[in-house]
Amino acid sequence: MAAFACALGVCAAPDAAWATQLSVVVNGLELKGRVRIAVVDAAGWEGKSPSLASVEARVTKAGMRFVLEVPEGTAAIRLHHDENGNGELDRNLLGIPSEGYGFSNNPKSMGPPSFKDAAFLVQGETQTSVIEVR
Amino acid sequence: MALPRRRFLAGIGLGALSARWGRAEAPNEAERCYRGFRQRVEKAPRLDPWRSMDAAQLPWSRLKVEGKVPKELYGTLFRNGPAGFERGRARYQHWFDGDGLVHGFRLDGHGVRHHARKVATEKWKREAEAGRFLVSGAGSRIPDSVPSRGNDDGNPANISVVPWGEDLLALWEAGSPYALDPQTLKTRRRVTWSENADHLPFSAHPLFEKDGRMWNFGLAQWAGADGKLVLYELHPRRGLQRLELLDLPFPGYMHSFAMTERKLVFYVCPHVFERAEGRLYVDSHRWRPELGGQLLTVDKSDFSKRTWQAAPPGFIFHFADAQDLSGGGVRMRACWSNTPEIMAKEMRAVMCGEATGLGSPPEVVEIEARVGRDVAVRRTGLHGDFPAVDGRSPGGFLAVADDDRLQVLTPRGSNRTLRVPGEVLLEEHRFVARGGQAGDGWLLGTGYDLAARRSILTAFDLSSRETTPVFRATLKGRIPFGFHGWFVPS
Repeated sequence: MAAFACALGVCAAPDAAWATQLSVVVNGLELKGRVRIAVVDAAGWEGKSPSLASVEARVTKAGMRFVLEVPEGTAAIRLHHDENGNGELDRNLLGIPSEGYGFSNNPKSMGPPSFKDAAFLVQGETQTSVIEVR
Repeated sequence: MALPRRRFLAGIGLGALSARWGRAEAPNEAERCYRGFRQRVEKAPRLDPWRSMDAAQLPWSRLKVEGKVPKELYGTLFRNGPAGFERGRARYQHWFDGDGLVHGFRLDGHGVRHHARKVATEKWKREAEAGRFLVSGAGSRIPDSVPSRGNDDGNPANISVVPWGEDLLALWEAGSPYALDPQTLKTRRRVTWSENADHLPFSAHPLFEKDGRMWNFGLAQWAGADGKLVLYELHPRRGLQRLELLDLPFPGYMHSFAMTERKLVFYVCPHVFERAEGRLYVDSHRWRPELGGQLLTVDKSDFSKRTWQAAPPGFIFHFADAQDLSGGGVRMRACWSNTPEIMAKEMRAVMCGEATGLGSPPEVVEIEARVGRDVAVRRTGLHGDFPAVDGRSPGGFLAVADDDRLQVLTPRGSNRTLRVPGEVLLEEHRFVARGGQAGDGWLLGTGYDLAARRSILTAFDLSSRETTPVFRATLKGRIPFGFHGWFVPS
């Protein structure tokens, strides 16, 4: 595995008393464009509330690591590799993404995963989640 | 098409992903299939053509020719088919899934030469590097599969091959074509017709106008409420001319289509895709004859001019030809099965050594769709598949391959049977014209000699009374059965 780049983005500082340093390890990036990661709760997954934390960085290595501060609780990670840097998730005529993406738990479901498929319990001082880019 | 970033961050899901594969956890069907095939194949020469070809390429070799290669057959027969069936002790359980191997048989005054090369798809390259299969197939479960972005992550480019401009296209049906160098068979690139056509399904059976334009479709049973049909019109130099989406009445299976001078014709068979978590694509279909079939006729000049007609329930892989009828109707010939067993079961049984061949071949039928009438299906009594016709004369002779023979239906309605002496299984044969007269020419194709356990190339003269080939060229070894080819004269 390639050595990790370490881009640090700490966003959306939580109100909760307890927060976890969540390391998100991303594998399988092509060396182009930008990668965006959002950590969301169930409401955020539905687009009904902002993300708990997010980070964006230029892709410099196939394997990268990001550290986000996330409140304890159930959350899911969504990743978009904006390969052409246009700020958008490009799709074809049928809506299939033509750029990389990924989720926590790396669900193998047909179609978009549910929050339940991607959700995990954020807890403790530090935690790591590994995402394989599709 | 693109979505603004804020919508991604706001929680939009990733939409209708096209993954045709379900979860691929235990039980390890891949190893069970590997063992089952190994146990049977040594004593069953009929299974030889489903042995895995693991090499990345076969270098040029000269074939032993008996008989004489006619000058009109000088050129190259390209042929594609699934061939890479195994990695380690994992074996694909469905014929659909093997990595594509493209062959070139070159015929000239010196005889016949052969070479072949695997299509270097993104899938094949990733799996070659990993040393194992990484994604489950349309009908094969692979343990520890990795998440895939969409169909092209599992695209083996293994069904057919057609010339297109300076390239040879290796085609699958659920994803992109791959462009190859016709001389070396090296893979040049994955083809994207346009930004919004990237990764769209593209069938392995495009049809061509005399001016070189290509028509094709892509089947997206998983899209929308009842599935979508993608229609393509392509120009050999100017590229994509038209790209449109049509709604299907139900998400039935389609493998090929037919074309008249004015129309494109599709038969949606009632083998219906029903998405279910964890099921493979092939197993996600249910045979629902009570729905009947649906025949779609689309005007080439205006895709919005289209009609749907109820048709009897059946299963079609291959159309032979089609013609316009006076009054606006169409008549087609196709290879028709009463059930989808070949796709659902037979192509699996043979891969895992549970059978030594496919089951009963389909029957050649004539399908007539007249305006304001029910669609009629007339049986011919002739059985076989991989139809060959002279595209210049729809309704003329038709030949199909059936086990160890080619069955030919003549324009006058009589039948002829062509065979290679000995025990030789025959595959698809392509029609190669001799001159300007319709139906005058050869049938050129491959086969497998069960006694010699070697693959052959052979040609029959359609205009002769002879029922044996004009020549037979034998390879030094065997190659897996293929699906479809294309002859390019020199």
